Amino acid sequence: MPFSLASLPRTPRDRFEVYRLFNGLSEEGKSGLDAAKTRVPLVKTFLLEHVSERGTQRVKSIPEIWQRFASILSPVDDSFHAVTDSAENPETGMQQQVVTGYIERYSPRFFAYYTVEGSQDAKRRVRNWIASSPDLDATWFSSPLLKFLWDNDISHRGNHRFGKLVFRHESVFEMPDDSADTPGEDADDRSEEGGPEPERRKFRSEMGDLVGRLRDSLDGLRSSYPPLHALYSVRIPSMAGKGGHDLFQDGQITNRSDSFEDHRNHARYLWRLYNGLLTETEECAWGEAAAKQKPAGWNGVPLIVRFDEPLTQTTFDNWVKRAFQKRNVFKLWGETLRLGPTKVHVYGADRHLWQPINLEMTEKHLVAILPRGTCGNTFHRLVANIQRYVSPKIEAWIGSRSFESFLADRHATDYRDET
Amino acid sequence: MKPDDWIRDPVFQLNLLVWMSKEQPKEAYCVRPVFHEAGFEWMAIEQPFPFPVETAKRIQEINADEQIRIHLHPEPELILKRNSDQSALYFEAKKNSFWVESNTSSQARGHLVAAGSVFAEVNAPLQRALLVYVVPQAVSDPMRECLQELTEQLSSRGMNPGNSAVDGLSVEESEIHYHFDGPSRAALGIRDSRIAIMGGIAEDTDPSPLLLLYSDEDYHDKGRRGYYRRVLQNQAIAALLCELHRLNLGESITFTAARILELTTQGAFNFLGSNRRKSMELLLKVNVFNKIAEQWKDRSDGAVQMQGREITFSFPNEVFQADFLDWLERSKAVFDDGKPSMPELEQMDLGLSITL
Repeated sequence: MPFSLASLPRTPRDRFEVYRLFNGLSEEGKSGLDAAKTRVPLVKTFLLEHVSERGTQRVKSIPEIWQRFASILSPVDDSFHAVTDSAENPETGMQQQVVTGYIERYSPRFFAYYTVEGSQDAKRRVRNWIASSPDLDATWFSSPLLKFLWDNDISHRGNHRFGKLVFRHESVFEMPDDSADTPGEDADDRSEEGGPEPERRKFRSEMGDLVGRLRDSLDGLRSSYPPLHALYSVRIPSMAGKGGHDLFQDGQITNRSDSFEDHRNHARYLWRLYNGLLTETEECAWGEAAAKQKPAGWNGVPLIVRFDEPLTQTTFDNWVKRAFQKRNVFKLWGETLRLGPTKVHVYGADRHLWQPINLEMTEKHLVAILPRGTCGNTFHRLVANIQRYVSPKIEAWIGSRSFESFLADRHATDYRDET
Repeated sequence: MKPDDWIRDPVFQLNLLVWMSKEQPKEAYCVRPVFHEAGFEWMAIEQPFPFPVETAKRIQEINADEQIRIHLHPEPELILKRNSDQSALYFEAKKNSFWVESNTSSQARGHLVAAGSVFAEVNAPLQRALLVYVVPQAVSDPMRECLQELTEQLSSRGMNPGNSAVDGLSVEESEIHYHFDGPSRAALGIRDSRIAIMGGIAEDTDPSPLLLLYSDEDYHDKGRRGYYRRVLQNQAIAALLCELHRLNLGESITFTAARILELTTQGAFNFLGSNRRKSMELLLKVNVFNKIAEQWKDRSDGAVQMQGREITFSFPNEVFQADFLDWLERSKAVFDDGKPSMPELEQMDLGLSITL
């Protein structure tokens, strides 16, 4: 019998009833994984950001945000809601209204959506929410952030633990007239389903091994093949037992442990890490800490991404042309002002969040100025997408501080308390 | 365009100075942040310098004498400050040098007085400032001689002018170099008499960094006269789009050009001199607001209304909202980047209204 979403309660007695249910499903799912067959979908968490919270817009409640979708929210307690939405009945193939998952409010700015829906359906549902609301965005665990987690946390959780690293890079801007020229969120799904597969540098690799072995071999491999810098997903070993939690670049966390509580603890741990990084990015970019009585933003710093290999003229031209198209994954709006063959300036906006951003794009780097109120997520989404689609090996700075040192400073303070 | 022409452009010069005070990585700077490295940070931009009462009176007496003139409201282009020793750099950028007899000298006398002992009086707890003229390096010697002569003129009339320096800009091979005058080196605590601040300069590429300070003035390249205005307008349209995408149906929102400029300049608009503010407002009013009003005159049914300096949006339904925003997103070519004429300025001052 396939698992049915109809078994999720719309009005549980309290959130712990949901935890217990997810715990049971986690155990069942983990047993299935151990036996190399799983009939129960894994519990997944999607970390979502409510972008208005730090910006100039009004903060909205969870029901207010979900009002614009067809979903119905039923409160379980002050910060926990059941989400009822349309989903396919696996037996009849008909659409039905069922509880698809639960939303927990971690802070006014961040929510977690817990679900046991199948991976593709759950991703599609969350993407639809994000695409149809300028209030919501994914969280963006770009490669430097995933690498930081690997270097400073995962690789120290024991050499005997099982680790997994997934790398993805696709140079979608290399070809001039490509039929699949505009990468969208579903591009991977399409090619997996036998769709067109254009010829361009494309790299997908998964390394699963003992953490100690992975650590010993990774640096050597990276130095000879740049796409191995484009980290897309990492497995974080569980603190409670076997298994772990797969964290993806777009803030999806899949529970491969047998404990939902451990899964939730890791989701909250990652939220705190990301929230700290985002807040600090914004304070630096907006210059809030130093501004005081002067116009805000004047002491803000630029955000700089440098490509390890300069882009070819064709790649640069295609990137500049397509990044500002309506459905492109970069989600940018603006007029590209040409300053030279491989240099443009854009005084535009983030098309998804509709917040202003000024960009310099050259064959060697991208410079972003985030006006006050523009969410740091815009920059982290840019970094993630540049590494996945433009240049696999990059260096990023916030002001004069490298992304790595920026993260390391956090590690020395509240981050360490969390581990 | 020859690379030498870039370093004479006042907007380029000023943006270069601001970038030199911005924190950036040593390995990947846009413009080498020499001033930031020396501990200086941004303090003011184009803010008129208010002389103390006694100084203002003395300047008025000297000006009445009609032998020399001292500008009573000098506007330094940029002031950077360093808290550790309470010092400041007071910048004025020029595309060329000038002589004592030229009209520009009254402004220079004003700057020299402002950077003197009155600077600490007005800007306490800052204790001193160095007046730095930034010019193409090729004309730095005559500029230095001129400032020396002006300083002597002021001292002989009982004024207390400040120290000055003349720093230069030059293009050498593929780099832009900043040349430090002796007093500048002392103020910054550096030994180098010149530093490459930008690399990769090529004749086919405009070396401008992203503009942090905007202007409605003509661009120096004849083929792209409206470039600076286009940057300002693009920012305004981006700000409008961001606000209008969040406007709920049935609600209305009203903008003035000044409000949009506050948003796009991070609030720095309010710190600019009044003439600059007025001409920037006029630019947005004429080239953006009026254009939107014209385009939607026959199809908005009151959803887009212009009255005096204000434009108000209220979307009656989703279809109209989607149509309007789609048009605004695709309408880059609609907005002319010419400079509005003076009659249009007068019209704006009269607050003439167009209701659609």
